[in-house]
Amino acid sequence: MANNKVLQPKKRTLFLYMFPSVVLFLVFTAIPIIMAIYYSLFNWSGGKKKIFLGLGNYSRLLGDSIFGKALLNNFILAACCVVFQVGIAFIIASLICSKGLKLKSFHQFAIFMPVVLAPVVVGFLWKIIYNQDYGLLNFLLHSVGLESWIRPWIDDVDIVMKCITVPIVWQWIGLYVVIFVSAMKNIPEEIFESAALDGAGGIKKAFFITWPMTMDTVKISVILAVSGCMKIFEHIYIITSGGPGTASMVGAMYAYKTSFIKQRFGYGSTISVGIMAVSLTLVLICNVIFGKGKKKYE
Amino acid sequence: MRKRIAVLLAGVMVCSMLTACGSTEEPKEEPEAKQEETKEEKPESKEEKEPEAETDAKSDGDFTEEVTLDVAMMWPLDSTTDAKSYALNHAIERLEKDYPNIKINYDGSVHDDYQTIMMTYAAADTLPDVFNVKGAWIPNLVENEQIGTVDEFFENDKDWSGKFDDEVLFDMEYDGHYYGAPFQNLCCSLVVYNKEIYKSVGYEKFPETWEDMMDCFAKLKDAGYVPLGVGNSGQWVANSCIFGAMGDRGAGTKWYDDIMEGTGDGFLDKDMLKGVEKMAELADKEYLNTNLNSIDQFEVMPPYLNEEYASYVDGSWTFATLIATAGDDQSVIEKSGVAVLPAIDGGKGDYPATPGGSAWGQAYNAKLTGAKKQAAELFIKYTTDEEWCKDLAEKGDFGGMNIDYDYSAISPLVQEYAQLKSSVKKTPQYDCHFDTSVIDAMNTNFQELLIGEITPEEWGGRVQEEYELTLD
Repeated sequence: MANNKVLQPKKRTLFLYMFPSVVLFLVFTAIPIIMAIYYSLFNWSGGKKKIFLGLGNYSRLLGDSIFGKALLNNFILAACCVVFQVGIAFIIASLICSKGLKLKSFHQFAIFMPVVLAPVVVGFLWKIIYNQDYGLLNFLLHSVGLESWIRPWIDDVDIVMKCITVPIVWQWIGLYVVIFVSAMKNIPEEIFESAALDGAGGIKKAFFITWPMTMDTVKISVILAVSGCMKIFEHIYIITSGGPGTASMVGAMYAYKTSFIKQRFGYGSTISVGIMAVSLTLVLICNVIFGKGKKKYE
Repeated sequence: MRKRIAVLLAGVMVCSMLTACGSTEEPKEEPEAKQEETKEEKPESKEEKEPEAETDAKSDGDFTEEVTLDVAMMWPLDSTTDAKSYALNHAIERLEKDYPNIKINYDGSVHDDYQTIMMTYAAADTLPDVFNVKGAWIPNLVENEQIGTVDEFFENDKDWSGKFDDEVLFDMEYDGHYYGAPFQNLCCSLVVYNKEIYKSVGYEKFPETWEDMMDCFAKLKDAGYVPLGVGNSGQWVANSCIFGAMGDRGAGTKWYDDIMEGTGDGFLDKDMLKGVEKMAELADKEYLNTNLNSIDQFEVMPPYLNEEYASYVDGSWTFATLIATAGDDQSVIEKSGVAVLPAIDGGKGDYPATPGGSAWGQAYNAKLTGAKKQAAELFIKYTTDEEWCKDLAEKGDFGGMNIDYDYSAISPLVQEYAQLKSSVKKTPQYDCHFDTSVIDAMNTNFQELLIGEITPEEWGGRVQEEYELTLD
């Protein structure tokens, strides 16, 4: 205890070290949020003229069906990302940590590669893949004789959100694989060895040892996936711009369109604040759910 | 001890990083700030202290001090297919040759991204010195004192301004003043069609009534062609190039006046909805390309040139790009014709007519004064004058002034358009005058209408909701 006190830096030193981060946080996070909340109280089309509305924009937001639809799309996307991104990443990470898999470095590289691509690049890439006339997907379907499946994928309101989910899931799986692999490598080997002696197979080890012992990492991954999906924008902007109509509209896209296309910066800020409130609530719910889970395993 | 050393080293690193940042930024910032001051203050002080010298500079065709104009427009300077890029390069060359002390700091973009960029500038009150302005933006920019009137420029040089027709000036007028100089004269709703394909199904020319067009499209579809291509991923083509004509065919120009004045039935108007019903009919009968919401106005050109599409709908800006896209093989262009959408039974609008005008103009920042404002005036003139129009004509595009030019040398298609242009009536372009939020509601819901997801009445109801919000 005494040692800890000696090693602990002085308050002044701590303050100096924290100062740059705090300034950056204030300038790039806290102040913009405060500004957005401020602008959300006005009818503002950009420029000098603003009309104070109080909570008028918020009451409009509550009855806005497009905002509701956009949030629903965000929720669907978040659910898909939690199940497929985190789920698939967990399975792949388990395989990478197992002894049976060959060419581990190659697999890790191939899976991680999309993570380093800019979302805009991924958007363009998949827009071309989905293209009705010269897209790879329809070409492959044609090649294997499934002509009846060929369709304008991102023009169909019933499947457009599913089509957009695929590249988003694909791009970020690698990130969660890396997180899970590092967590799994921290599990003592002896536990697996004793489990093996007791006759546990690969699936049992994954369910009863790896899963509970990486629960904290799972929690972080789920929160990252959910918060990432709530702010998703670039892929959708490039692939569909929220269309056809509002079929693939998400919260950030709606805020962008309201601000920069409709020139309603005040209401656009209200939408942003609304998304922030919903996202924080979701993260809070995740914390509560996983908090309970943690107690169970402790 | 080790930890202490680590903490100490980390501290040194943080300090060195901060010092390094500071040391590189400081000397940079000072001259930049000084430059800004020079840019902003010199013209003003010149105007205040030396008005005579400034007049001399102008009459000599020279500026005594260097003036840098920040210009942002929707054309990249390095485009090989855009006629406006070609004309703009020439205009800047001419201007910098005539006035060596005027320097242009150009920021080029493309049409669909330009709006976002400009709205960001407008929101932050940092619009560039000279920019392209869309008719629909003018009221908001005027209200916020961000755009200057060009009335005085027009007054200063009547030889130049007198060559603009009322039809192109109409889109630039607000509250009795002009806020932009027209750099183009558009017909926004045109059908470019392959005459040979149409002839093969028994139509020598583009049908003039809706019934005939439906019959023709049915035959084209049976023959394996996409009857009418649309590239609506940017969301505005359906509105500008189809509804602009069909709305007027149904309701006539009075409906436009009613919307602008906030009177009438708005977007529930039965006559206007007749035009929307016709658009829905095109979708129901599957006469449009099924991927219309995922390809843009440029992506319809290759299938048209490959003779997969029998025709496509676009505006008069299409010709220069179509010719450039065709490259060496101009065979399809040579057998192409151009027409306007047909008349509809019981409609109140005129035929032949097309929405048209300038839609966009060259505008300047209201904050400009002195030499910078004079330079802006010159830039605006050079990018709208007869030379500009000739440069555009060379590439098959049309400037804001009517000039004598032999378009047949470019392509028979452009020549045919030049004749059509002078014979059709121009009607207002809705998306250059309606409120931007109403335009967006129209555009968004047209995407769904054209794939049969909503009915014309649902379209009208949704747009009406947005329209009523603007009336409040």
